[in-house]
Amino acid sequence: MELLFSVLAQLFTFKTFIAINAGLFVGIIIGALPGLSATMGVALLMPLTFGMDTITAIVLLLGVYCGGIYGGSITAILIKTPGTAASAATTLDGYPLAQQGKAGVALDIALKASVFGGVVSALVLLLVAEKISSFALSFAAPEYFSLALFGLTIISSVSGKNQIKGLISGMLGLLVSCVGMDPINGTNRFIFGITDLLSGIGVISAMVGLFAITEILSKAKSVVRPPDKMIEFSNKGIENKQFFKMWPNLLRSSLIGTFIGAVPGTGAATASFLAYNEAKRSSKEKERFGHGSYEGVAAAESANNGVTGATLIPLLTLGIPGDTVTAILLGAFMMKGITPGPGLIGSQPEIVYTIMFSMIAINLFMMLQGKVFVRVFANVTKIPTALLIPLLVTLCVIGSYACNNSIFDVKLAILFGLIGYLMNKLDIPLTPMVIAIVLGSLAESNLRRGIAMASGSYAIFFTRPISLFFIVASIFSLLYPTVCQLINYYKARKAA
Amino acid sequence: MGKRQQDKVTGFGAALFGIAMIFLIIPNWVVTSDALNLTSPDTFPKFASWMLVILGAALLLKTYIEEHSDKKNAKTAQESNLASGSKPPKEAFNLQKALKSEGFCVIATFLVIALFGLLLEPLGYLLSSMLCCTLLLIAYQCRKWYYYATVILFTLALHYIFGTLLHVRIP
Repeated sequence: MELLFSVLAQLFTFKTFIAINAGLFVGIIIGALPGLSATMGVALLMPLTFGMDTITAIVLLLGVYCGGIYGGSITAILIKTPGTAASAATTLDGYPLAQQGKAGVALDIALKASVFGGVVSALVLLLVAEKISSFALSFAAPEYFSLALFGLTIISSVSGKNQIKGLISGMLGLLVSCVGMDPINGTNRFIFGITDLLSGIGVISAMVGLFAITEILSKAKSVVRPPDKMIEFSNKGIENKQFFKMWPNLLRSSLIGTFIGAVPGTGAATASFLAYNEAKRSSKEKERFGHGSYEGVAAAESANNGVTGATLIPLLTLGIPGDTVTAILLGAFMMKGITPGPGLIGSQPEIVYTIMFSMIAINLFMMLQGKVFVRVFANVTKIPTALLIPLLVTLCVIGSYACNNSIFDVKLAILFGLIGYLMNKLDIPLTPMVIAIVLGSLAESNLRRGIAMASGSYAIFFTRPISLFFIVASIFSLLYPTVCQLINYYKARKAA
Repeated sequence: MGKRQQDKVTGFGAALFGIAMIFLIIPNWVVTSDALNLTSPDTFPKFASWMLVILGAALLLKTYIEEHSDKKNAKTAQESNLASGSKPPKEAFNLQKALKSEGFCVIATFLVIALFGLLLEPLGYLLSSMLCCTLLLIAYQCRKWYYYATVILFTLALHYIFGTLLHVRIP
């Protein structure tokens, strides 16, 4: 009890509140700008924290982190340009909603779902951090491979009616993910003498090209064409009652995000795609997914923000940073004299619990700030297309450049834009390609590591329980739609 | 382009690309080494390429079967089209109309974006973005001065946010 009061006293200070809100504000803006990620935001603000006390510094950086993950959804919904890779799944339903004049609803769902995911994740961090971290640590190459394989099965569910075209798009994505230095041997693949390709094709460049530039080219048509019908614009949000009707989906997606976040080296993009797929599979309105489903936006956003608290689990309990953001945070902790690891809770419980409680506070403040941002940003949909296109082009170019400070990345984004436009013309879905680009290298490197671990045997993937579970889940995920179709077909035949 | 034609082009393109990958690109551009691991660096690309060939062929086959089964319906539709009257007269080329066409806007937009990518290094971000945004507005035949002003102000604001506030090295 004494500890709780001490933690709350540290948290409820004017300085901490200012730090949380400043961090969130910067984080949301950075997340909303294509090419700038939460990682970059945390790295940029870290030097500012040198003179601050420990708690103020940590909550500021955590605010940037949470705000950055949420901020990516704003541009994903409004202009089909995910600010971060984590928001790519939000684009699938968020943008169609914006096109239907429901930008306000989509942004509001994204905000509330992000807060929900963030709070669930923070509670898990607070209550069962140690147990989860030891489970997550049992992940080795076979588990990572089977998890990535499970993620890749989403391709089947996002391909719509034309499964073959979806798979073709996925295979093209896998080939794109192979470009660059081989993750195991370090030999070159498909670099065509271009040294810039050695580090592979950046996910942000590919996404800016496939989503944003493709959309710009499609939008260019409407500059000369009057809209089919005037879309009634509304920046009204979603009612709480309607939002909380989705609680099973929100809870499931948040827990998926939390689980993925606790596993080092996976990331929010994987979590949001997995949650999206699960939401679609269990939804009663599957046909609405991809055309503006509230559940789709809620699943993607609660999952990617569910990752935020969970990434701190291995960091605080074991001293292992799960991704680049937590690696930077580890540096910040150490700079402030905190050494994360198994002994931290015992030696500095006040600090650990303040960080855990601050995650809840950060998410609640995000709700307040997000409301303001939603009202301001929702007006983007009112901008005339002829003006919007030049603004988007500038944003895309600087966004793809800022990721690696590379003009080559800008050229790649433009190339992907052209490829995306041609794929659209041929009615080939783009999302499977993006999923394969995100998960391809994770799947390949861990498949090969797993085989090497087992001295050439594939049995390792089937003898380890977690790996086997995900492989069975992948098979189920792939066969489920076909089995359902067959059952419906036979039912209809029987009825006839 | 009709759905069938789209499927045919996709199927043919995927199969052809897969074959080119297997026989031309992978042997020349993937350096294999069996020194460290049991699966070679070309395993995954080869799998994806073979899948492209198989999926492309499957799509072509599916389109062929669909076309074959719909042959009768198509024939009837063709007959009714012929019966419905003569072909619409071909319109003469009109430059003014062409400049306002959807196709022109898409091509112009892509060309300006490509130009942006090329000019970014020699001209720098500020000049190239102002030039390209202005070119886009000219291509869309915008006459409102505040569109041009907004675009220029936005470019300057982005330069300030990225370059000054966020310390991103801008070309």
